[in-house]
Amino acid sequence: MSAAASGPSGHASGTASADRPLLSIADLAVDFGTVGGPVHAVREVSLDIAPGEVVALVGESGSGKSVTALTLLGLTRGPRTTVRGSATFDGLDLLVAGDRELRDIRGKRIAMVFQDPMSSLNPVLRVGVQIAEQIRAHEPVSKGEALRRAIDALREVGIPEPADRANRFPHEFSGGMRQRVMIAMALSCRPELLLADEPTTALDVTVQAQILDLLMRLRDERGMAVLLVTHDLGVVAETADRVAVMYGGRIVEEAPVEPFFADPRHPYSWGLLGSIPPMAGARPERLPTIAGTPPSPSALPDGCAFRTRCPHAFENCAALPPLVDHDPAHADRCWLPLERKQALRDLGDGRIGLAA
Amino acid sequence: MTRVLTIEHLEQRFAVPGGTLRAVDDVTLHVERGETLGLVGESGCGKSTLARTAMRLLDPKAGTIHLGDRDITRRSQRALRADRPRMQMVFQDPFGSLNPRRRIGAVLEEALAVGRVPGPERAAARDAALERVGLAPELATRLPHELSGGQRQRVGVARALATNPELLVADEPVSALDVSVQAQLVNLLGDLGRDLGLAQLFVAHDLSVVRQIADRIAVMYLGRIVESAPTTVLFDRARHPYTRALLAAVPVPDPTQRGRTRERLQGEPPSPVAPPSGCSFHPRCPRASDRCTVEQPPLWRYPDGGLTACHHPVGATADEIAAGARDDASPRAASTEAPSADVASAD
Repeated sequence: MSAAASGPSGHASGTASADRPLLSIADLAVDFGTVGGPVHAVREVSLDIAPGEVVALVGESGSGKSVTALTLLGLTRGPRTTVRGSATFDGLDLLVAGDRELRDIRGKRIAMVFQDPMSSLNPVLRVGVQIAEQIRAHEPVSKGEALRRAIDALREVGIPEPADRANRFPHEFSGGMRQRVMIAMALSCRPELLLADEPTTALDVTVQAQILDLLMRLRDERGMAVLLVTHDLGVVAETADRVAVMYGGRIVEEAPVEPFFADPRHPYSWGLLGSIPPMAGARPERLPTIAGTPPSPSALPDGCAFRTRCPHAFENCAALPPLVDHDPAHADRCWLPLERKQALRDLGDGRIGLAA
Repeated sequence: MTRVLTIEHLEQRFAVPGGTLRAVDDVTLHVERGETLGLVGESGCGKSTLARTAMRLLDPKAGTIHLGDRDITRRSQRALRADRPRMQMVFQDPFGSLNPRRRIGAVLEEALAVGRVPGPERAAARDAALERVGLAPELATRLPHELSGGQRQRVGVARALATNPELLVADEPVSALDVSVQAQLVNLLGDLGRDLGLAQLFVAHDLSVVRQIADRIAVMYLGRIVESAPTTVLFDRARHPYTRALLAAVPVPDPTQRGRTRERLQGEPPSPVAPPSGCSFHPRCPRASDRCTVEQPPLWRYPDGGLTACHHPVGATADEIAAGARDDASPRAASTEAPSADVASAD
């Protein structure tokens, strides 16, 4: 965390602070030129991911979480896109890497899984062929060998009868099985980092649990790092080592997973936590909610982007608060004093939320 | 209690390549005035088809549907127009369910006309309808694309309520929305249900949302209701292994519980074109016995109000089973034998 105004506080990672980060994002900014003027999709995003670490990037529509992930692989490049900052992966800045350099990394050392497996697979190619194609793009192996490895990859992600299934087309798979195919493809070259953009959002909870178990098993077995883009704090609590919450294109809170849930510092984080209906205990008459809707990145408020929805906003909030580490590895971007927050967020019954 | 919607032995089937898909298989349920019934299950279980058939957006293959005392099972679509104001629906997709070229005010006024609000009163009624769902009357002049997803879904609710319905069927009304907006809509639907005494059939796959809003919950698997119970009973002591697996699969927003052991469901639901014999859950069920492969379990009514279609219900004691009985909601083909007591009922 290179907090903007807190000085060179240094970064302490949740699990692997001794390791050199696998990926180090510093001051990332992404603008899209549109007819209505530039849209500031991502601002001042700094984030490190250590080998084997699972970092969750949490936010709602338009928060910049997916743009952050896509930009790392050069997938937002275009004549109307401006990218600033750096994203260093094994000494190479991904943001300025040439197409060829990026192609060597993409799919091999950094792989990506998208939310919608149907539109991410080629509908007219058998899935085994698609996976084999991805392997042959990166490794000098024969078609037969690539297909054998594709079948192994399908077996590893829990697809029954993988040799038979490799011969089938994407439409012959259920949503959960298609997502397994996507993961098999992403993992076929044994990447060191997996970017997973809402990988289970389109799936049923039972299948989601299976896919998350699978990702965690692969992380444990291979030491693969994961950047998990999600809006679901339940998924975060089940999988992540560290959490970064995005709002209006910026990180507003970052912490290891346990302190984040036990001691959330940013009012937006309280709002997100409070708006999850509880699965046990007393049912609240009404859910504590965040007023209004997430802002469009083309019309962000000045200062703190959350102030228009925050019941605790005061005059300071007209200026942008810095991301400050109040204690090692737990940073947030809010003007409220720490002790005041701890009083404000308590809804009683031990619940945390955004009380209006 | 007044039953607003009563469905008995409802069947819905579709011809598909390779056979017949039994989307809704001998389902019996009812919703009372002022009550919200949550209908949950995995994709493809038939919950949306059941909701659409109940609304007569699809014609049932067998069984009956009553709106209040009126049998609407075979009424023609023309004759149904007289009943439509009493039964309204909110759809999942707030983008696809509003005409992109019609202003919000015009959408609502049309619904008010269907609800027989006289022309001169419609403008005031339209503003009141917007305010009731927490929207400013100024939005009447807007087009759908000028609204956020949450605002559009509020318009969908306002439109449904414009005819003063007794029954509101909501099919995944919050699942397309951002989390912060989802909670607002859940509160709104809860408030409106209470204030207006609506009977609501709330279809959703998100169990935490259903727990928040429903008085009773029915769980569907492969076209059948396998368990239904008052919300607290279902969450405290679900007896069906499928319900328990569904509940266990919901990720808990508390990292300190990460290590807990959980009942994980393997595989995915089989094809509804060729459902398994007996209890259709048996191939995935950790408790399945030989009996489950041949004998379809009846819905057994337990003293706490829970109904469970399972031969080996989790935690059910011999006394509870003896105090219960086979419920009339059971499928006609289901067994008449009682379930077995759970020997390890310390579960």
